[in-house]
Amino acid sequence: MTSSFVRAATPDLQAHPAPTILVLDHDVETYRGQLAPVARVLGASSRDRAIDVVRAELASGARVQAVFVDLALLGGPGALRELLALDPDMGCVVVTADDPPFDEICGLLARERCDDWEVLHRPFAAGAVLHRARQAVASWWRRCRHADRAADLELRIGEANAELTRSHAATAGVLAELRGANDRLRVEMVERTRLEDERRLANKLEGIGQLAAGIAHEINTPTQYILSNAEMLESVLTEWLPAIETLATTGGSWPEEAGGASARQLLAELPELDTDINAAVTSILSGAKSIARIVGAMREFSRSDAPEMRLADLNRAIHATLEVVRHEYRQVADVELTLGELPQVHCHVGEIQQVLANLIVNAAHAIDRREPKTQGIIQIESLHDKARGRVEISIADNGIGIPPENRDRVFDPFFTTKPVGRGTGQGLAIAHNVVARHSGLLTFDSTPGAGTRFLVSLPVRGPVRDRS
Amino acid sequence: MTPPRPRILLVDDEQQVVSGLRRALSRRTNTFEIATACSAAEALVALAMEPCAVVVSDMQMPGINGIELLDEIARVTPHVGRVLLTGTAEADAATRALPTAQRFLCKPANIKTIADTCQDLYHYAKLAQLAGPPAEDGGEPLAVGSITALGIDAATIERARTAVSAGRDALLQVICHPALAAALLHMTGSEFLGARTEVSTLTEAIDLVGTMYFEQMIDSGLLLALDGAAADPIIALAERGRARMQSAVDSGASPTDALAALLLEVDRLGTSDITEWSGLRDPCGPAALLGLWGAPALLVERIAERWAAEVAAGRIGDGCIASAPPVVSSDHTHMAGE
Repeated sequence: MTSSFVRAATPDLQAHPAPTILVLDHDVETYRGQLAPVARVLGASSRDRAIDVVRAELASGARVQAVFVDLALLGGPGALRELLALDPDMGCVVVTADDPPFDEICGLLARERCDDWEVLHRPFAAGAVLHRARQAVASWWRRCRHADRAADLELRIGEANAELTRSHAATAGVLAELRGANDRLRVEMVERTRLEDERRLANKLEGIGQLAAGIAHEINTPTQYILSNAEMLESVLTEWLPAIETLATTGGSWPEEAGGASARQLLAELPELDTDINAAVTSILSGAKSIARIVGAMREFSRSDAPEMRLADLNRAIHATLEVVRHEYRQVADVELTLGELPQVHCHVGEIQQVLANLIVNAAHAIDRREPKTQGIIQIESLHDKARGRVEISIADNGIGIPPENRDRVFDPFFTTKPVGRGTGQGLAIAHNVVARHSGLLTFDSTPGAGTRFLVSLPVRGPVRDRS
Repeated sequence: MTPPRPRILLVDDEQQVVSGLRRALSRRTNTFEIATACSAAEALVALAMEPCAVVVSDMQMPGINGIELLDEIARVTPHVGRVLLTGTAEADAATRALPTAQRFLCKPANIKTIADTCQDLYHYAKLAQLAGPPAEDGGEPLAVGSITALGIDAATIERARTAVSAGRDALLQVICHPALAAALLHMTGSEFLGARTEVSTLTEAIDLVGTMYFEQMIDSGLLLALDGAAADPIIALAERGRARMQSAVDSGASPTDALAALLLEVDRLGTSDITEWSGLRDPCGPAALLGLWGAPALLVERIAERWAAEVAAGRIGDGCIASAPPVVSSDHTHMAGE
């Protein structure tokens, strides 16, 4: 039974610094004889004395690793508990001549020690003292280590806990940060998309607004002379109708009494009036045709807003575009057209018209910024490069040109040298994208002070991916 | 021999516009002779060669544009009436035109509108010539037509600017100032900004024009902000105007009459040179100025009446009025064929 309480392998006493062993028994020397080589043996003849020894040891910074206690010397229950309480790690060997019941010894010990003690029977068998001493010291080590380990563990757990808490906090922080970053990213993406949309819309609106104002002006001008001439004709009719009626009712004669004088007066004015009436009618017709032409071009523009690519006559697109942006260039430049024979090109003709509009307006602005201000020239050419299956449209101006330091930035979004309100720096960036979507090329060459020539080159058969 | 008829000079780079207008105007009026020019440069030559009563110009023309042309005319021949007739759809152009163009018409404009506008300007220009004191060198009288801006103290301008962003009601608190009121009334005379609608109060005027255009007007050059001591006579003049207005209100005058009281000395704030302020002008006739600027006819009449009364009582101009006060005839020459 006893042996069942001896658990761990007995460590070699010598592997450790010599332990201190207290003997509460009468014949201390017997023990010392057996233990001296490996341990320091202290003796005590009474319980109180034993307590003093342990205290003294502890006070000096040393410890008693094991204690041999003769039950006969204990002096009552509780004494052993009291002794062991001084240093709970102490190994304990109960020395007895009897074979006391397990429970009885347990009752002497504190609950936590009740299964950790040795028994040494009298008379001592050979080597029994040393053996028990070893076991007791081993138990001391075990407990110490336990305690150490526990403390260590506790410490480490504490540390780990702290670390965990820290890292948890840190993780939470990182997580929060990540989540925040994620949120910001999402917000930014939404914002960016919104901005992009807005920019595209704003650009379109700006374009539309600008064009609309220009078109309004272009329509108002012929409307003005249609109106003036029509009003003039109206007043002529108001004046002449009574005279004509008179003629009709009198069968072609001018009765003196029926306003004959005024009729003759009218007749005298007739040659001059004839010229004026003819001029007025001609002017009205030409004004109406101008408006019809502008409206037709606008229809061309809106019709070409179709979502899918179709075959289009780009020369016609050039004409329509010129009509719509006439207001933007008319004051500063004349347009020279050299249009070659073109095949139908597979494209978004509406987008291509916007590109052309952009390039023409830019050309006009470049001319407008020349000093001194004189009427410039915008040359527009189209040609079919049969060998390469491409249609090329070039738009050249004799404006201020693009300085070399700006050439790399021409297609950058938001890059502009125009004054505020004149351009957003979006036009060429968008033009470039549009042409690229058509698998085309938008290039330019420029000489500062002499002008710039933009070249739009488009594959006749449309974008590469559409053909595959 | 009949005296030469006053001339209207039509300027537009589109030949068809001027010839159409010429044909229609010639048939409508016997008062005026019609001349045309197809560019600003041509117009300036024509003006230099033969006197002209009114110029009606397009805005967007190659070379010198319409506003620049009217600027030059205001400087060189201030007694010539200045009308801008444009097909532009941009409000910006309408506010930019405020200082130099006495009238702003939109294309397409019917012949009656154009003829009446010319008649109006001719009438008020004659009125101004009667009212104006002779120049110091004894030459041509200082023409009301040379006024292209009104002086105003910077503090009031700032208050107006703040009030604009605070909305219409706040603006109404500030606008009771001769220069601001006159500028606003000038805007109501613009076909683009105020639709040439007759208004009888400043509240109606601001509701017609809107705070946005009013804000644009502040920076159009029509108002010249002055700081420090230079602003003192303006502040005093505005104070007098408000006091006159208050006493008119107290004595039961109509809103139009009260407004006329406020504006009685507004012509003295006028300047033809926006780079230099030479103090208050001698009185030269507030009615003519507001008449030229297209303010409501009834208001202009009230101003003329009040002015005549004040001058007769010796309360205006410190006795520097040489000529007799003008009388506005309500039956001023109308065009033939009306």
